[in-house]
Amino acid sequence: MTEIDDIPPPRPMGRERRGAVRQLLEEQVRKSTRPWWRRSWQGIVVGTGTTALVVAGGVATAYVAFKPAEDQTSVLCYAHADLDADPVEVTRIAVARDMRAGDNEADSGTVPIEDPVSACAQAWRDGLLPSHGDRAARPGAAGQSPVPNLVACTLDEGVAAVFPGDPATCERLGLPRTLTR
Amino acid sequence: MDRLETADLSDGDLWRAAAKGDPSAFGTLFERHSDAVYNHCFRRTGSWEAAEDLTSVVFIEAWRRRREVSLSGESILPWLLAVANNVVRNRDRSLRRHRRLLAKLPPAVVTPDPAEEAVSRVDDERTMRRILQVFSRLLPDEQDVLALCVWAGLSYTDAAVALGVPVGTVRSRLSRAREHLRRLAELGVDAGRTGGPAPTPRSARALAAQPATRTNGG
Repeated sequence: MTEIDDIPPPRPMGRERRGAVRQLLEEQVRKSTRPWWRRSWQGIVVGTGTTALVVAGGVATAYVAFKPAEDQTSVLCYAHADLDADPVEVTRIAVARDMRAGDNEADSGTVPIEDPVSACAQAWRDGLLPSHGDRAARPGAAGQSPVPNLVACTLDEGVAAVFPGDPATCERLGLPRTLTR
Repeated sequence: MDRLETADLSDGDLWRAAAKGDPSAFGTLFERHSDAVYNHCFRRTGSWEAAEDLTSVVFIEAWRRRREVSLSGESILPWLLAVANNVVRNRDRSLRRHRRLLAKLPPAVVTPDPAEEAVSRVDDERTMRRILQVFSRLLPDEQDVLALCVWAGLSYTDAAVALGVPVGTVRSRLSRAREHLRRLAELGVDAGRTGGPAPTPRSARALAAQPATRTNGG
């Protein structure tokens, strides 16, 4: 007899498999918290050519790493160039339809954001980023908040994060710059 | 941070430590909630083998989306189950997306010892698949709320956090789901109708009448 409410009892996951999954997850954490220059080069384009700089008196080359944002359904706009910024100082922009908590962005019917810097510039103009202290965006004469210089870096989960700053900001944060098409 | 220390920490503390790069904190979270997620995935798929792979994917996804986590009080389980709902719903795509990582794991073969348990697990799968034949007639949001509140035993508040909706919406969805089950029972739609043994008209009715539990069981 089948009882829809009489579900089978809970059972534990196999010990061997559980251990292997735990190991794999811990390795993921280790990998993604390493700075980009200590990670696998897979998916990262290192540009020398026009971006290589020769330092005076030497031949040291400054490499600039780029990585495309694989997940274009949302962009994180940071108020400060700080990955540990308080969540209220980070705005996620997504153009989505009927997106619920826990949804996978890739399945939500979202519209890709191809230019993360423009998307966050608009968020700054709209005053979505917090305004306090001298790092703040203060409303301008036209009622719009000023937009600082912005740069897009790619987080290890493949989402673009836009910070106030310049290309060196990404390097300082240990992130590759976002490669836009 | 060693394992003894992490075992005493709340989910919130572990999550914050993991986000700062502490692998064992994330490992402890996995140990703490893997069985709940595993059983949730089983109930949604009717396959222990699939549940093993999907549980792995849920935690990989959770880490990938760590900046979106929402704790219910200090528990991360409701959010993990919400991620699980979506991973299960998009099962093929989820498995495809993480196939490279899954390939590093030993095969998801359920070969428990003693053999008696192997038989029980086969019985579980048969039972669950019959249940899912009724369950799958419900709307997706009805399925989610029933799986969270009735099967996983989340409170309304935890389910609300998991689903990203107000508590009132959880109540109304649950009520709608039960009503839907009642109608299905009246129509004679039941597990046995679609390939199982003899029809059992009270099955859908029984779930419709069952109150939500308030504990976070596995």
